[in-house]
Amino acid sequence: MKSSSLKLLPDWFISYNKFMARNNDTWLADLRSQGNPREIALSDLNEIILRMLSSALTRWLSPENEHFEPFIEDVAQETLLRVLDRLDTFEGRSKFTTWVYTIAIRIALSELRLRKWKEVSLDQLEESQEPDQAPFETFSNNDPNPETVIEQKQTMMKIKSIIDHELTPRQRAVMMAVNVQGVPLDVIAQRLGSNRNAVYKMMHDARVKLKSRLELEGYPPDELLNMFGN
Amino acid sequence: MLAKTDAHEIACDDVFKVLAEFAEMKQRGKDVAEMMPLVAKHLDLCPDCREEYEILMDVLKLEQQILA
Repeated sequence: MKSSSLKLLPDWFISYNKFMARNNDTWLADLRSQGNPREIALSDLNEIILRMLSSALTRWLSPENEHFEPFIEDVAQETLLRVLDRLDTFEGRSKFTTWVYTIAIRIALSELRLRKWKEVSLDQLEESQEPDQAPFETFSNNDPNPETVIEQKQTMMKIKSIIDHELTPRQRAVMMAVNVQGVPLDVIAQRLGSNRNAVYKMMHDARVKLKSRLELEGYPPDELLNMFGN
Repeated sequence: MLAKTDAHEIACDDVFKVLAEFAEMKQRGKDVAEMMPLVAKHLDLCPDCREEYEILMDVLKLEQQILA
């Protein structure tokens, strides 16, 4: 049976010592040193990452799952490599360990999102949506006044036509996938051969375009809060 | 989300660079929306970054328990 470093995790008292053993300067000095201090620092950091991730990721992956421990261990290893690679970019504006957590969490979540959505292609997402209905259902209410209902319907039609005209097909597909179907930006980015930052910017451009056009047409943004289901 | 849209927003990479600092400030009870409004707004609008921020806050809480 595979021995797991998670099973050997220290109790609270030992963890406490690991956390308190170094400040930012000594973490950096030890990790930049050669030989023993570096090895000990790497081993301590590995333990801290394992401990924290195994608690934080239980919402995503059950600790009972056979993949849980190997996954957390892989993420910790990948995190250590990235931390060493980017050590010079740490500016000391937070605790060193907090900076390391941001890296570990990003590595873990990016991978978990891709695993969760791996069967779904962007084409499927575009095909499976129902653009005539999905984003607009949130506008409907139970107002018994037929005039209000007709007015709302007209507003919906107008907004739909603006969306169709203002956004490129790709912008539309991405907005729908993210905001209606809850597809993570990471997954969209991977399908498009892009990255999360670029996908966010694409969505931002689309939102700005849509907002300014809708305002020009006399629809105040407050009324549009529910658009795209958010 | 359109109501929250501004011509000037920062994207995920810039937020990632300051996320650790932002989370620690939040944990200390600072008014992060006032101090780092662009980061706060991004976390409002970007589900991926927000999810990672929430996990980071969970981790910081756990760390605080260990150190208490």
